[in-house]
Amino acid sequence: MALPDARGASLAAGLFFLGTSAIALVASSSYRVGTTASMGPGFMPTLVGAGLACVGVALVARSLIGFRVAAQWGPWRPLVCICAALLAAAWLLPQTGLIPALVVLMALSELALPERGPWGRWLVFAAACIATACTVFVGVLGLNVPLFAWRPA
Amino acid sequence: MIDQLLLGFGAALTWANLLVCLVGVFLGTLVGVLPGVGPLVTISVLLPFTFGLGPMAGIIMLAGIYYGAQYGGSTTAILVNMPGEASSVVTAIDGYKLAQKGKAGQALAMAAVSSFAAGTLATLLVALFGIALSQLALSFGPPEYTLLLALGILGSLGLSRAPLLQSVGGVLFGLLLACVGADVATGAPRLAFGIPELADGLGLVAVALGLYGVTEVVRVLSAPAGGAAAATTEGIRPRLSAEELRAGIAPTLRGTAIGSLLGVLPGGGAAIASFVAYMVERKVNRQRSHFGQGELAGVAAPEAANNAAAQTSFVPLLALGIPANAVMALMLGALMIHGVSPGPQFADKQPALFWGLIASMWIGNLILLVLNLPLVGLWVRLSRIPYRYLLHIVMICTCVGAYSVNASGFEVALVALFALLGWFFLRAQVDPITVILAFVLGGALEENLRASLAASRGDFSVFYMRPVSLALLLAGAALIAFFAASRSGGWRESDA
Repeated sequence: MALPDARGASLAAGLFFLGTSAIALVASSSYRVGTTASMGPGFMPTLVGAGLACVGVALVARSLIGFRVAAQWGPWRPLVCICAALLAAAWLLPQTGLIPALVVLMALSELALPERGPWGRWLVFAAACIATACTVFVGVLGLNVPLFAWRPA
Repeated sequence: MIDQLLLGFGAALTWANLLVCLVGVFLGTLVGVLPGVGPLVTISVLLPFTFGLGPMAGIIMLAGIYYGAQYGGSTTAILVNMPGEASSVVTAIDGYKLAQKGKAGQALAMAAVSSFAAGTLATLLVALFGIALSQLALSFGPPEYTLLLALGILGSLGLSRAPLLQSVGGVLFGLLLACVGADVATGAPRLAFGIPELADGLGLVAVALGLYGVTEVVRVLSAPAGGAAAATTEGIRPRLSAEELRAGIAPTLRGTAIGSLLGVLPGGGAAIASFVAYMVERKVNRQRSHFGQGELAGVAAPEAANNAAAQTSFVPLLALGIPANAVMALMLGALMIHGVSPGPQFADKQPALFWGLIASMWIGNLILLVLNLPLVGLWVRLSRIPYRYLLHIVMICTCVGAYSVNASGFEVALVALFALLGWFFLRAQVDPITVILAFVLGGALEENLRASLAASRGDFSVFYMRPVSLALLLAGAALIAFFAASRSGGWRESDA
């Protein structure tokens, strides 16, 4: 896995911080900033946002001087699959219950693997996992989630 | 103090707590044995499941995981040259050589015994210093708290392995995350962007799981796969001769001293402690020419150090409310979620919990010793589970754990978001420890800052006119100087 070199990283970090600080500053502009003696809700976000903007500028500036070579970001598939798995589970859990959500979770996570084994073995493993999960989380720990439900939003 | 320690033992020695400790230590060793899953990931994943346990049992379990992981990592370091934890890397140097010479039993036994001895001594130190620090801390007011929290956040800059600018950015970003949610004084929802679930702020679970747990999963999946080394499990019954035991005393004591000291300092921790202890032992030990070819002292010193550091890193947390490293930050979050605020008042207001936690540390060490020696064969077999199976276990625990916080899929979606962020931070060379520490401490920092300035009507002199504040300011300056002098400026590969 190739890590981006310092320049690409600085640029990315700098832009990210600049963007975030912009959002924060805009979002907190509607709150009272107040004085140091009487700090309002907007004081901290504004102060921190301003600081973050400075750091962002510094990082972008640094990335333009110094180092060479563009950044490498590594394979995208694991990230996309894992995030997709979680998002799918997030949407499915309240609507369809535990079991369908876990099935989708495991299927998408499996896609994140660089190389996959035989399907049959995966099915057995998945069944075992889901059964264990249901027993432990709902049976033993008393988690408040239906195993199988149909509540379309 | 003795009767307080006894009070602690009384509180800790319930069957329920012992069971929970056992589970934690077992899980921790398991996790330590498995490469690709560390105590940080495990603690963040299991955090929501400890909510039903109550503060003492919950922390006991999480702490058990923490030092169980140290030991598990050492087992695989010795047996198959695969350190499961960063703190076991040095143990592998002499440990694996010993195993290759057929002396794996001695190495494992030495690791276990020196860890236990170090843990016992360190627990005593924690008992001693905890009180001293707490009594000092009773004189704390909002200005002192503010500076203390700022010091803690500053310490994360030392913990960070990222370039300075990105670390500062990470801290500020974490502070911003802490601002999300209801403002304490006015109740106005800040930075919530109209999303009702955010009105109460971001949960630690989602942030920790995403930034650490899932990011680590993605990282392992993105790295070129490595093969597990085959190893024999024969001839590894742990045993030591009296001669070897005696030779191990001095390295263990040296390792304990170094580990105890480094565990307390922000920026310290088990990994650094074990490296330093090994280096020192190499300089000091009479057998130094044998180091690197299978020398028991080369196992005893780093093992003692990493266990001692794991214990003493609780001191700043329990006595001052400052986490000394990432795991302690999660412990702090866990305690806060249970409604406990560790800090200067803690020992005074809740002595049973405070001393109970300290007592349980020693109990955990004992369980480690008793539990693990017979189970070595099992651990080795388990260390060879391919990641393709482990992945799903981690994902399921993450998903269900996050969901269980609020019985809402929103938290799970948040985990996905923070996982994306975590991946980005990895590439952009921002160390997530800076973000998490600032996030955990940011709320209290703002409150105390506001209170200090409100009381002094905007006068900043309150931060240097009082003796304790001044001392803290000077400590902060010293810390900055220390960091400036020792920063190597390079980005080192993640080893959590």
